[in-house]
Amino acid sequence: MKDYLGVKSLMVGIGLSFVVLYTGTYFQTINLIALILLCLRTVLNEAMNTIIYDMKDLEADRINGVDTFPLVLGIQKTKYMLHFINGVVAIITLAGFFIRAFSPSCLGLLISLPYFAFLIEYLVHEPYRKGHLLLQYTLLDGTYVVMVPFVLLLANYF
Amino acid sequence: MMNRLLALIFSSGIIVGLSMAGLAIITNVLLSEPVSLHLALVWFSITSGLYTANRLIEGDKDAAVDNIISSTVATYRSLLLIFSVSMSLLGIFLAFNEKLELGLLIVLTILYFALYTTDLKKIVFKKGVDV
Repeated sequence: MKDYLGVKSLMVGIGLSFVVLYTGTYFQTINLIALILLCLRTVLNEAMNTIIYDMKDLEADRINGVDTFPLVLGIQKTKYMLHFINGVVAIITLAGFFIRAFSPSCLGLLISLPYFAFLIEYLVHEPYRKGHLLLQYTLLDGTYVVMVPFVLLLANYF
Repeated sequence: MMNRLLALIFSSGIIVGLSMAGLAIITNVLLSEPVSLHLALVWFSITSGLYTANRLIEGDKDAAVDNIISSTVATYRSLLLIFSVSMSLLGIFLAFNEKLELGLLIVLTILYFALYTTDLKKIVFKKGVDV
């Protein structure tokens, strides 16, 4: 099923949004709007992550015959799509802040906007695409490690 | 040697595990609840375990393009397998130890990713050939 275009990204996103659902269940939260917005944000963020991976692994996907966005749409159009999703993720975060579903510390999540913009551009840039493999994977897999300090810092401030 | 160690750390899913623990803490904070390290630990264990399992299962695909990560997975296959099983079991234990519903949610997550990783089409096709 994951060989179909976009299904893999969506499935990973939905799977990792279980972290949010689990945390909501743990605290028996009644703030359902915050939970839904966070889930949506996580699905998009993780889907974006897998598509960036696909941009890096063009050769492997071509050999394995897997349809991915970069192979079907081309690198440039995929980059535009990712920048659009990145913007939507930021809008969801801001929406949560303005309707007071999230605490003000959610503004720390906006760091994902420049962070992903950098990843989208950096990871497909030819000299880097094949080099610095471990650094690239660390940056891609450790996205929330980067966001936690900003959120905690703002949580202490407000 | 250093690169090999980093590749092993990456293949073991420790980084993605830390990231998901981070997501649990962020959700904690955004829901205005006190930070729970228990949740972070559950997600660290489960994600590391499942990520390593996925790396081991999809090792053949990764090896299509030879790089340090696919070669590290091939070299340390048994070590990664032990790590994967231990971390998954630890996550399940911690979740059930906290609450039955949370344990069931974790089992549901594992089933979901098992379905994601398994190539259903291939299994059905193989069965068809056997008949």
